[in-house]
Amino acid sequence: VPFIGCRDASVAPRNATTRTDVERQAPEWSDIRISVLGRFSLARGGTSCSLPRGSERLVGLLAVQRSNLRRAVAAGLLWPDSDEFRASSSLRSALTRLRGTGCTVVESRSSALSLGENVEVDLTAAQGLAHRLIEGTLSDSDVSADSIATLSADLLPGWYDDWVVLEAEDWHQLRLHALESLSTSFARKGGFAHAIGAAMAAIKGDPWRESARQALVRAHIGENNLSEAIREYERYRRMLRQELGLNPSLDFVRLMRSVTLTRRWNGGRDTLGA
Amino acid sequence: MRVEKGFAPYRGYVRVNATDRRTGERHPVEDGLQFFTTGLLALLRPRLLGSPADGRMKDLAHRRQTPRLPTEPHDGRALSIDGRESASAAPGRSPRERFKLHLQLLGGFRLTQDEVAIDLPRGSERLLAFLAIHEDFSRRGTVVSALWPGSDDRRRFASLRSALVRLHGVGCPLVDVRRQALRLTEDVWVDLTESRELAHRLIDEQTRSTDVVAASIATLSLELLPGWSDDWMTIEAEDWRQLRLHALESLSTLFTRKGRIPDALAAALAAVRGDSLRETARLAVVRAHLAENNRSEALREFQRFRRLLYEELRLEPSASFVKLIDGGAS
Repeated sequence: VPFIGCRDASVAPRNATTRTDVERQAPEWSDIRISVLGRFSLARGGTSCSLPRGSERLVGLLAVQRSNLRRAVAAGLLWPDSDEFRASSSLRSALTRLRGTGCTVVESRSSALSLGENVEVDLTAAQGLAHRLIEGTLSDSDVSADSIATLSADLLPGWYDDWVVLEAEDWHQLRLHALESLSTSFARKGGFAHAIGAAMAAIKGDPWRESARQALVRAHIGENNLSEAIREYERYRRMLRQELGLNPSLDFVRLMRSVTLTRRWNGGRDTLGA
Repeated sequence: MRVEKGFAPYRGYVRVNATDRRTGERHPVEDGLQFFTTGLLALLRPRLLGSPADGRMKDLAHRRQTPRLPTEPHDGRALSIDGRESASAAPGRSPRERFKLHLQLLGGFRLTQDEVAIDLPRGSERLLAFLAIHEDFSRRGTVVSALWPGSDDRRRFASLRSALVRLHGVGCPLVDVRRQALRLTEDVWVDLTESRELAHRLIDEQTRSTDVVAASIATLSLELLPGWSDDWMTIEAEDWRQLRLHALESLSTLFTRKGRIPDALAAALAAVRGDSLRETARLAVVRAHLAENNRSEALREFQRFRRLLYEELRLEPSASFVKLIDGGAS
């Protein structure tokens, strides 16, 4: 019982100081960028801050969830194996150490935690881009080589917490679809080199994925490089056969068949070539 | 990077901070136990090793002290390696010359320091190649599962550690080792990075004055680590092949536009050498011939391609290629 009393007493002043902290630091938030794609990083005004592991996980959680999280929920997600008391004390220490680094990005109210309003998270922009590409509502600047780089990074690779793994799988699927759409958009504009680059990035994400291979093969066909298309198709077919004992889908087979039919050797009838 | 001397073996954990010299950033090092032992070694070293005149032992101790974080080089020879900062002091030199460490991946693996080749064990070579190709930080887990796919985790990490230790033996910092991620330090010049940028500039037609030159043809004619057949490598090699062939075709178009037909032909033929059945490469050759009004050459090139396509794949060239030839030759 006295334990709980202690806790209550300590919580109130802590929050009070936090609020003044928040107000004091508010103007600096505008140039804080959090990156969760590829690798976690937190940068303020172009210089990166290095965080202790616990604080890093807390900021990562808030950046991925992007909503207000009750303290208890955040503590439970971050330290699922500890009991409630330990988890919340770990959370408090993560917050304190975060404040110690001078990179105050977390707004902590009495019971809820959230990122400051002006904090930029790279995942948000990347998801926006991916959705625009998939839905076809893209602007000209979306179809650029930079988009390929943005869509090539996984979400917090190597973080195996439950809350990361699901989100990471979500993002993985989204980015591969977006890369395939991007490849199609490039090919439509005649930028076949980038179309192939985008499809390759999707293949690197998942070498078994047929839609990515199809995007690549279509790009080769688009610029009339049938030999490349056939080589790529054969390579994929062999890989599937050897490692999984499968065949490419009927769609893919039909695509290859129709393309080779239209360019079948015609005995040298129609041109001066023969 | 500098490892701070103060470590605190109290409260059941060890806290060590590493400070990045250039940025002044501090990174807590979580690999506590290892640093505990190495830190202990650092404290005891003067007593254990006696006089500083005993150079060999001292050198050995230094190597053992920092196996994970390549800090400073352990002798005076390489201390001046300071990458980009020293680079900005000498503006007249080419980007390549500003670096002392050169890593070549195109045409075969080669690491040189001040033009002297450094021999490395196979594991270290593969690690460097992986990091150079991926440019940014790579997670340890990603690195080991790509490089040593067959073995179990403990062996993989042991292989990674031994590859890193052997690299540290080189004497200059090659790999930037962070908490969970690795990348090449910025002191290493990588030919692939520069060639990729060149290729992208050519494809996007945002070229600099030094791009559309005959030397670019040679750069773009090299394959990425030929003969390496790991799974991750084959995709990367194919990616580079496609990039360089497109860049060569763009280069040929740019040369043609400038009226430099011999160079345009050389670039296009380099692409043809990459894949003799590739239509866009043949198209670039034919366009260069037609720009000079050499219709007979264009026709001969087309027929050669057509015959090859028939022999290998029983296919016709595309309709647009045929149309170009019909229009150009008549």
